[in-house]
Amino acid sequence: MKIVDAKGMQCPKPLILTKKALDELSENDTLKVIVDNEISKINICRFLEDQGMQVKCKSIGNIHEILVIKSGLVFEDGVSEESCATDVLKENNYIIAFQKDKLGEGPEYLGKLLIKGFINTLPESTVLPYCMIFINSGIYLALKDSSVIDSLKKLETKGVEIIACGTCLDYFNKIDELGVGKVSNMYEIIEILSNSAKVIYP
Amino acid sequence: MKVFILTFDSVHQVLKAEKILSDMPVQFEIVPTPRDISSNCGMSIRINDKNFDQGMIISTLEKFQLNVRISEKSLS
Repeated sequence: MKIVDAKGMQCPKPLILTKKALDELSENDTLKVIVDNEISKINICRFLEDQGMQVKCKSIGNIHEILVIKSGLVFEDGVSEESCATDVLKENNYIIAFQKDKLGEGPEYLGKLLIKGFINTLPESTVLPYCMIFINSGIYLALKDSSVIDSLKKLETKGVEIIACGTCLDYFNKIDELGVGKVSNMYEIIEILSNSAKVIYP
Repeated sequence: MKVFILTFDSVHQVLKAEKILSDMPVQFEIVPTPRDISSNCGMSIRINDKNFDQGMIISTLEKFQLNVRISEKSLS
């Protein structure tokens, strides 16, 4: 059995070491990789599974041990910076669901002022959400005449997916006034909410 | 990019200023007061247009008894 101790290393290093060790291994030999972060674990497991190998993973706290038996040839592609592209996704693996056109409970004017401040600073935030959902009166924020429409458009150009609840646009009779993003339904909204690691309800 | 941050004494003044500015030919946004600008109020108004009529804005806001301070800031 070969052991790769990749503790303290950040992606893509553990993955590259794993690939290298795998290349040097004989068929049916076992490889153990030790990493200390979740992202590396996920990436290595995914890479090995993509190669058609059976992966066993044991985690104690932050320490993850990945066990794999080498079988078949190791494909060349798959190990590169691109393999870590998912990290970026993981880093901003959160979404914001706007359920109203205000921030928090309390006086209407204050809530509306706060939500503007919230949305207008988002484009400069280092970790952007990957999706923003507008539900109920939240759709008002995404209408053409909304005072935060420019910030939302900026976020959209930066790759943030913007989704407005179609039922809600219909209810408020604003279907034609959506100024950003796309109209969607509850199926997609549930799917997006349930797939996200974090959901922020401002 | 250069922007201008308008700070006020209270959030009530920001609300009032927002209302006044929305009737004026200037594009602005409500933003949290940047960390490096000291203000009693956590919210500010940001103007992205560097050619805006600073004198006109100040005099209009002062007419409404609003105590406004303008700071220039470069946005990365």
